[in-house]
Amino acid sequence: MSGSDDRDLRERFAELRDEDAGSAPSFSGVRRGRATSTSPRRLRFAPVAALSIAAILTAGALVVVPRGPDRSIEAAIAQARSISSWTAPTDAWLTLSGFEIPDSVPSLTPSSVTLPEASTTTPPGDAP
Amino acid sequence: MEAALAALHAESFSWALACCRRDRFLAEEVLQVAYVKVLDGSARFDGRSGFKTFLFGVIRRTAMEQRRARWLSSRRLLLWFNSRPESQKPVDPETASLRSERARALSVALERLSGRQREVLQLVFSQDLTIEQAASVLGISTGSARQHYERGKARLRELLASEANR
Repeated sequence: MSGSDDRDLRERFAELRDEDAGSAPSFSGVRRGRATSTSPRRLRFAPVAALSIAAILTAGALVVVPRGPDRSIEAAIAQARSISSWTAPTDAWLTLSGFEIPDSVPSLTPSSVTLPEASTTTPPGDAP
Repeated sequence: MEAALAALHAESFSWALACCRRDRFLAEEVLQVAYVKVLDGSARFDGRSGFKTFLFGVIRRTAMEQRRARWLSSRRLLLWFNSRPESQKPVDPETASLRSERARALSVALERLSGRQREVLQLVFSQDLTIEQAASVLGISTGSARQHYERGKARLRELLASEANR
């Protein structure tokens, strides 16, 4: 491109630069710093940022991680039923011959027991 | 070091404004943090490039950091700026008006360029750096900087011409 175009651009940029420089704050003001270095300010916000990030991650994990099996009441009842009807395969080993006897033993009550009557004769050794 | 910073202060402010997309509040904040970095040694000048190139690189990096952190401090900065007394140089009003109109047109046109094109043009035309120095400030190759420079310049001319024909 032509040099005159470059010159025009340079002039425009120079005007912009002069305008910027004219409105520049004083060096000493910037150097002293109206505010302290940004590091302490960042550190001040660090706990808040850390907590926010932790909260966001936790919320995200709760949404993303799949839940466990359905805990509806019907499912719980069905599970309880299946547990109560379950029998161990070795239950038969506990059934021994004679175990039915206790069920058939009659209960003892005073009316069902007939005691022998008491004898009034003297024993043979006591004869005169 | 402080004297070197003071000597480049006006140019640095202009560059900070360019890095902050003409945001004056942010530019001042960026400049202050950049000066602290240079003076406390966290940004070390190793002499491989010119001091101006080094300083402009620090300002640019700081501007990127500050833009990210800006939402934290924007309200506080606004309060500070509103409470600060203004210091303006006396300028002939007619000249100022004409110049400021041309400067405004340039600002508007620059906003429509890509970030890289804007930065390269600003460094070359406004800060009088070479394309090689601009590439060093931006951390890109000279070839890439030259490409941004040529394309940006062509686009800027188009934009300024269309603005003038309105």
